[in-house]
Amino acid sequence: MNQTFSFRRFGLLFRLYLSEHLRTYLMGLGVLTGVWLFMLSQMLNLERFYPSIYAGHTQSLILVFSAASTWYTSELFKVVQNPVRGIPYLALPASMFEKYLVPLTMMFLFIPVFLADFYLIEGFYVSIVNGKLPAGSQKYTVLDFNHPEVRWFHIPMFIALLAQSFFFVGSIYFPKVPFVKTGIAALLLFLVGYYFNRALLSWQLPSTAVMRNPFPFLGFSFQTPDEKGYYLELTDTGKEAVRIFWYLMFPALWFITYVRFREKQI
Amino acid sequence: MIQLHNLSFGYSRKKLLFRDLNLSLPPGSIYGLLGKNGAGKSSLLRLMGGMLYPTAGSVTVAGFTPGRRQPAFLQELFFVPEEIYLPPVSLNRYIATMGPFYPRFSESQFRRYLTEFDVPQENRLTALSYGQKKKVLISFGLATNTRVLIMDEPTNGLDIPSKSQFRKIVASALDADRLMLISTHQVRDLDHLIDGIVILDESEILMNHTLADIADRLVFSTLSSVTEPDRVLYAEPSLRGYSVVMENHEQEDSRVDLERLFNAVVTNRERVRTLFQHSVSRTS
Repeated sequence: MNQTFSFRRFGLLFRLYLSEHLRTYLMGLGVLTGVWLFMLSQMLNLERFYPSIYAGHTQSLILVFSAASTWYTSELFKVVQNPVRGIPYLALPASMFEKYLVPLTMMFLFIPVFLADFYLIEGFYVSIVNGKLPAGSQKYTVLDFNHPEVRWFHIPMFIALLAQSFFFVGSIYFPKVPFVKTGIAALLLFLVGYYFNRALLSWQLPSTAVMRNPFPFLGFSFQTPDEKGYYLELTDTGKEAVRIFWYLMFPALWFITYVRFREKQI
Repeated sequence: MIQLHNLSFGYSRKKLLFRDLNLSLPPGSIYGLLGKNGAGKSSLLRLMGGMLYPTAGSVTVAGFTPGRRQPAFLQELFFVPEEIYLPPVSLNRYIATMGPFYPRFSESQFRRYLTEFDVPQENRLTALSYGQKKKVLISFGLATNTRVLIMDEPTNGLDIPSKSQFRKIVASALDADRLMLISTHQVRDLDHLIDGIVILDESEILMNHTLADIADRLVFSTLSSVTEPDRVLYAEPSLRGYSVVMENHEQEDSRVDLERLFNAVVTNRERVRTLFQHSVSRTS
């Protein structure tokens, strides 16, 4: 018998997980649908085509996704955070890898379900609004992430996705109130990174130079006493290295979660 | 079936709950694990179930190392914890989702036990009372037919008729290749059920013997007065004088009273240890 992974055991675990949680998730989906119905309903007042609507929708999408995905993900390992639920879960005849894959899969599944819900409501409103637009007017379409109005939001979107994986780690690290504790940890990490970066740059620049918005891993601008402004950014190779680093953060966070889960004692 | 070898464990390395425990429990028997509150009974069971890792030494259960949490091991062990959880599903759904994890699970056996326990089978599991939920889990554990069944305080929450039903059902589910280990502080619930007893106290195993061994070395009787204090390990006043536990010099037959035995063992640690060491060396 394979002691690490079997599709049969994973299927059984997944079915068990769904049978226990499906009702809660469907209720959550109902709440999310209500949120979208309300937030996107402002679109119904439009009588002309405004391309800026896409930026507004993208902002809403990122905001709601960040809140919903981090809360949802921080609850995924709740099952092993106390003996009442944890002992039966750990005692199930399946490997720790399979038991870990179930919450990981649920985390991944959140994204298409969330987007499907958003597009369903947005598509519904778009069809209503397009019917009200004057003849010959440009019609609204559902949100396209490559739309010129939206490209600016790729970095916040990436951060929102990364935050979800960060909260995945938090869900196994913090047995109690994981959402709040992971949020505090994320904020502390951000502040430490931000001020460390700032301190490092201050140390490298002459004391007379004035820095503006130095942000870790991105470029920064500064002004010299003769009021000349400069913008410093990484070389293309450097940018690529940073990009790879951030992409690698995803598997790194999932791996940390797995290691922590495997060592879990109840 | 279960072996502990120099097992040490503590929730912190500085303060150990157990130190160098050694134990061997054979298949084909039902063992009672007794100990005071906080003695570490639940922790010991969790070490055997792989929910905790030893600080030092080793645990072997059915030939596996529990801490590795391999599916093949978990198929051979069912753990009924003290505080139980049942999902908010119907009984049929529970059988359909949980049963396939255990290769030797028998639905007919499960339903038979539920009937014997008088548990309604139509309701959602969350609609059942605490005692009924406990009976569902005990019945399921027995019906999995795992080689090792560990139950932590299984009779907590059971009403009086259910406790005798529990003894009857558990005794009927034993076979030659199965070991059941039941932890409880309600020793009377194990009367006429267990074959052996393990007493855990102050970080060590004070006793690990079959009831036959115990009855061979100790006699449980009632005396009008305690006339042989050297022979008496434990005495407590009763309606007809004193209920006592004495050294069994005359090879008298008596029924082991678990409550008195426990009190005798924890109040006469060294004397009981010497008596049973002597017994072991004599029999070997």
